[in-house]
Amino acid sequence: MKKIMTSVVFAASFFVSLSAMAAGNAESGKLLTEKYNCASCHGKDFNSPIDPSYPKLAGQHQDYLQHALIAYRRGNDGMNGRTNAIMAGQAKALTDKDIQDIAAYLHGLPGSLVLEK
Amino acid sequence: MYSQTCGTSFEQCRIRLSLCLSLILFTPANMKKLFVLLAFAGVASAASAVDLAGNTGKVNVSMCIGCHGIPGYKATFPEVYQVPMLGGQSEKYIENALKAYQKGERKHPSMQGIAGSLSDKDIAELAAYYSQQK
Repeated sequence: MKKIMTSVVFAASFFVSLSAMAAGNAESGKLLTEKYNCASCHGKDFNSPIDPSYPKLAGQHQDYLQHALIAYRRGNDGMNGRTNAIMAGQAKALTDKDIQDIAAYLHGLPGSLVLEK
Repeated sequence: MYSQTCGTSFEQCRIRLSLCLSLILFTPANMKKLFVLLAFAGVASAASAVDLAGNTGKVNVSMCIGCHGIPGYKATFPEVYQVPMLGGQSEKYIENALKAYQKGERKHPSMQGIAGSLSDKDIAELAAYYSQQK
């Protein structure tokens, strides 16, 4: 019984920590976007990029932003990567935690992206 | 089905086909001629398909909305995450992204398959369509 309880507690804490990780820290994300000058291309409000070839990020789905940064960091390695000269350089420096925080910050910003058919 | 796939109506296609057959029948049974004829027929039908696509004036989003039009829809392979919101996104960025999937600069099994089936014109139309959503 004790063993079961221990494993239940362990499993529960594992899931709690997982979801905490996924949530990310928007405050720290804000500082990171300043550190890496993300706004210099994606726009001050992250909703008005300086060139139409750059995406709007404000309000985009958090897990997608996370995935995109991970894919840029991966580059051509692995089956789900992206190669892009600018974003590869930017993403290489980021830890998993950095990526979660940045995604949390950008997702929380007001933006004009919409989901329509 | 004929009119949907190659842009030639069934009637046109039938006339063309019977023309082909009569030409084959009434010329000496020469294999070289037959091949030339078939090659011309192929060029003609390809050209009419392009003409039709150029005149539709409608954006074909049927391949997009099954994922990008459903709130909360998640890509499940190889990783799980919500597919991006496209409405209002930068036009040139959408175009570049689709072309990057075509070239393999972006890797994703479904998106590479879909982008691979699009023409430059399809891509331009889709990018314009989604970027104008508000």
